[in-house]
Amino acid sequence: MIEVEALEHGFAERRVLDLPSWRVAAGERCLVVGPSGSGKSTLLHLVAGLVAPRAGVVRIDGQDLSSLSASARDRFRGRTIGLLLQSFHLLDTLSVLDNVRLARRLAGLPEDRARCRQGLEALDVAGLAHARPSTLSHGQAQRVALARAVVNRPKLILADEPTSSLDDESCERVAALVETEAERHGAALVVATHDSRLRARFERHLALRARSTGA
Amino acid sequence: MNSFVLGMRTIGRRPLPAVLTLVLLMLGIATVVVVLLFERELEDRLGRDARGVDLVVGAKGSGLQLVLSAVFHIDVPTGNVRLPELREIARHPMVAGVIPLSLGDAYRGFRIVGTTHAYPDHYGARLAGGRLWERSMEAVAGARAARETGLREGSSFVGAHGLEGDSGFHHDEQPYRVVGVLRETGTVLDRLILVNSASVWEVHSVHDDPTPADAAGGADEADPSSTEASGAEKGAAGGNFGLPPGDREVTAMLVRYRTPLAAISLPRAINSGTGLQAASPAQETARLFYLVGTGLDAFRAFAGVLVVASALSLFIALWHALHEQRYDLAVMRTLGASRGRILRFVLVQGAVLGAAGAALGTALGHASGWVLAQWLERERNLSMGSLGWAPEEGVVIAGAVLIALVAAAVPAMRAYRLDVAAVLAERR
Repeated sequence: MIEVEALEHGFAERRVLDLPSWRVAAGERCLVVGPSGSGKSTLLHLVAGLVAPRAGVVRIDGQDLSSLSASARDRFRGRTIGLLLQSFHLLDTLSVLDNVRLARRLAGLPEDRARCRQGLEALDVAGLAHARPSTLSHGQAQRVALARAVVNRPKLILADEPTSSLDDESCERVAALVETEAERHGAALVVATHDSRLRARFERHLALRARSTGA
Repeated sequence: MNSFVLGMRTIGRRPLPAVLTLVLLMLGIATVVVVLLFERELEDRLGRDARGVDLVVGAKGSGLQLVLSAVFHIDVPTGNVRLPELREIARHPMVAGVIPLSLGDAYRGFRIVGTTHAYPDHYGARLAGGRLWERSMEAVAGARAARETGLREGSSFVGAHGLEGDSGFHHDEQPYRVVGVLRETGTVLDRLILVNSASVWEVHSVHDDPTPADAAGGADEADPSSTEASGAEKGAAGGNFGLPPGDREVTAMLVRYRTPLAAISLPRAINSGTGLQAASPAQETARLFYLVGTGLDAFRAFAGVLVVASALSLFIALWHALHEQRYDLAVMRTLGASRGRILRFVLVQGAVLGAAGAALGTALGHASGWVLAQWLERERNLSMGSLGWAPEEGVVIAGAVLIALVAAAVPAMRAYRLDVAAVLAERR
C-alpha cells in the first residue's frame, strides 16, 4: 500500500526526515514512533501528498504521488486515504452528518446520505447527526472524525497522535475503535505517535530518530 | 453541501462584517440606481415634451428659460412678443408649422395656456370627453390637471396670476368653462389647461394689469372673443400662418421646420435680425443636461465612494474570516478538495455578498426613486413616468458582483496558497 524510497524532506538547511525505504502492505498495520521533532507528522503529510518531498518517491496503492497533478493528488487523497487528525478538525459550520457528507463530496463521490448515516451508526453517533460539532464531547467528536475518515472506504488510514491526550482507558478504547474500523474496511493503518502505550498493539514499528540541525 | 451552502454558512458564522459590507454596497448601488432612473426619466420626459419642436421663439432673455417655460412649463416666461413679428417668421418658407402660446395664469397650480388646436394635435392628444374649445372662455383640461383639480365637462373656474395659482390676483369676473377633458398623453399636456389665445387677452384686458400683453393689447382689429378668431386658428390659411389674427401679444411660439437646413440659418436670422429670441429645445436641453449632469456626477462619485468602501469592507471581512477558517480549509484539503476548489469557495462568498448587496441596493433604489417621484409630483409639479427596470441596472449588478470578486480575489489567493501541513501542525 505504501512504498517509500530514498525519501528526504526538510526545511531549508534542516533535514527533518530521511527514510531510505519503507513499505506497508495492503491491510497491514504499522506504528510510527519517535520523539517530538523526529518527523512523524511530516512523514504522514508526505504519504498523504499534502507536501512534496525534497527527494525520493512515495507510491500509494502503486500510484507515484509526484506524477499526479496537484488537483488529481487532492482527489486521490480524498478517495484513497482517510486522515484522522489529533484535534479532529470537524467543521463547526456544518452539522455532524454534513461533515461526513462533505468528505464524500470533496472526494468527488456521490453524497449517498444513507451511507453517511450508516457510518455514524457504526460508531454509535447516529443520534448526533444534526448536532453541532462544538456541542460534542471529546469522545463523540473523535468518533465523528473517524466516521468521516472512513466514509470513502479508504485503502489507507493515517492517524496522527490519536491517543496522546487520553487517559489509559480511553486510549485503549480509541485504539481499538480505529483498528476495528480499519479492519472493517480492509484498510492499511499507519499510526504516528509518541504514546508508548500503543506499542504493544502493533507488530510493525517504524522508529524515527530525533535529528539535530544540519544532520 | 456545495460551495454555495458552505459559503453561506461561513458568512453566517460572522454576520456583522457581512452586514456592514451589505449595507455599504446596498447604499452605493441604490444611489447609482436612483441617479440612473432619474436621468433616464428626465431624458424620457424632456424628450417626449420637446419632440417635434424644432425652435421656440419668444422675448429676449435666457434661451434656457424660454425653452423651460414654453416647452416644459417649469419656469416663468421671458416676456411677451407681438403677433405681427411672429407672423413674419411663421410665413418663412422653411417653417412647416407654428403653435402660439400665451402664458401667465394658472388654476390651482396647473398652467392655463392660450393656444390653438395645433397644440393638442402636436402631442397627438385625444379627448376623453367633451370637445375642444370653439370660442373664448372655453377650456380643455389635461388629464392630470382634470384629475387633481376635479375639473369636469361643465365645471367653471377662474385663473390666477402666476404658476403657483393660490397667490396673487384672481380673475373672478371671468370664469372659464370646461368643455372637454383630454386623455393621458404622457407629456406636459397632461398638466395644462388649454384655452384659445383670445381668452387670455380677454381676461387680462378687463382689469388694469401692467403686463406688456395689455400695454400693447389695445389696437387689435379682430374681436378676441369672436368665433371667427378661433376658426382662423385651425389652418395656416387666411394670412395668419397658424397664428391668431390681430397685433396683440403672445408669450412664445413653437416652430416646426420644413427642412433640417432651417436649423442653420433660421435661429441666427431671428436672433440677430429681429427683436425676438429663438432657442432650440434640443440645444437647451443638452445644456440643461450638462448642468444637471454635474450634480448627477457628484452623486455618482458619492456612490463610487460607497461601493469602494464596501469592497474594502468585504476584503477585510474575508481576510479576517480566512484566518479563522484556515483549519477548516486545511481539513477540506485533506478530504480531497483541490486548491481551485478552495479558491472558488472564498470567491463564492464574495460573489454572494456582492449579488445580495446589488439586489438589495436595486430594490432600495427603486423604492427611493418612487418616493422621490411622489415628492417631485407633489412639491414641484414634475411628474415622473414609469420608474421601471432600466437596462443599465443589469450592468450595475454585474459590476457590483465583479467588484466583490475583485475584493475577494486576494483572500481567495491566500486560501489557494494555504500551507495545509503547516496549519495542521499548528494545533499541537
